[in-house]
Amino acid sequence: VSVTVPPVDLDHPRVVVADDERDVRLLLRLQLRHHGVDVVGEAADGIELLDLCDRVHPDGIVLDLLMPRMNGFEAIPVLQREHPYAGIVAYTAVAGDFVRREMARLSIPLLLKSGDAAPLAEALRRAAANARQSQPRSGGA
Amino acid sequence: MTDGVGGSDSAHALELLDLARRRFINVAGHELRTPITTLRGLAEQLETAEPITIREEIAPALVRNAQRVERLLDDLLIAADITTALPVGEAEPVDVVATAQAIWDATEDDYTLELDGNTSATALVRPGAADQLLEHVLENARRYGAPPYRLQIAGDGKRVHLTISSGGAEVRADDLALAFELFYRGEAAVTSAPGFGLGLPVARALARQHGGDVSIAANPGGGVAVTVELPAL
Repeated sequence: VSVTVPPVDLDHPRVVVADDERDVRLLLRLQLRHHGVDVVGEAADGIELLDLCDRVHPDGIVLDLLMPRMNGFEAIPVLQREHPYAGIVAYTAVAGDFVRREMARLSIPLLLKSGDAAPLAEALRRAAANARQSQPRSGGA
Repeated sequence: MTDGVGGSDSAHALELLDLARRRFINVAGHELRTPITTLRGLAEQLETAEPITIREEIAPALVRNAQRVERLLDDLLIAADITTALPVGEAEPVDVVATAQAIWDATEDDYTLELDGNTSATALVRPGAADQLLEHVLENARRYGAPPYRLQIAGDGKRVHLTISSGGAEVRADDLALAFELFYRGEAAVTSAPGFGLGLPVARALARQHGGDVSIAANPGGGVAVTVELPAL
């Protein structure tokens, strides 16, 4: 089965937000819109995120690392395998040495939660572009 | 200079103090950053958001996050044995089953709290204390446990015993032993959910203020049961 991947529109990337805090999701939905990023879905944990990605095939993913049921660390390998065209940005309140090392090892950009969404929008664009560039344009199964 | 034993004890005490200080700063950084950055970001949206978005989404979220910071401060004071934030006023009758059910139903997921035994039980507690105490115990179950969630009521006329039981993985004995330790978070909790490690210590402090207590035990096959004991009407 050949999979055709449409080019990502970096002016208006389509992203999903995974965070167990509903107000963080609300804030990001409102903030990212001002930076030209369309939030096309929200998930409260890793399981909801995987289901959401299956349905909307986003260009980018804002990923909180601490979530119930399936946390961000557990979701990353599944996302990288099943949604390699989606650029992941880890977005967390605090990041100790372990988190910094793990995200560096996985080549996933890491941002601390902040009231300013501009760096997150920029990181999403970069991650989305990188994910497309690092993958073949079609795949078989 | 103290002798060898005294010096060693002092060094150990300083190490423990330093550990407690770092644990506090770590959890405070995490738990305060989220509501504060959310408050800042939402406040900035007030200039440009549609009136209906402000009214229906932003305003309630601002209140929720301000309340969260307020509660964190109260919890810190209570957990540190500082009495200024403990509930005041005369104890009054509270249906703790109805209170627990209302708290449980107010959250956004669809998990059910199954009720075993009596459908009501009245405890004597100061205004606000039952809500605060039960919020912590129920949130603890929801965050770190898994279905089935059960609420069991028992009593002997003088005491009401509410046991909140959740399923999930087997809990390590050292996690159980430290469950009421300030800022302690179990191994599974660290990667699954944010938290301050204050919930059970605060619940216990509130129960003890009323002459009651909170205890925890492992469930056979996994999960825990937390029992709240309060004076009955």
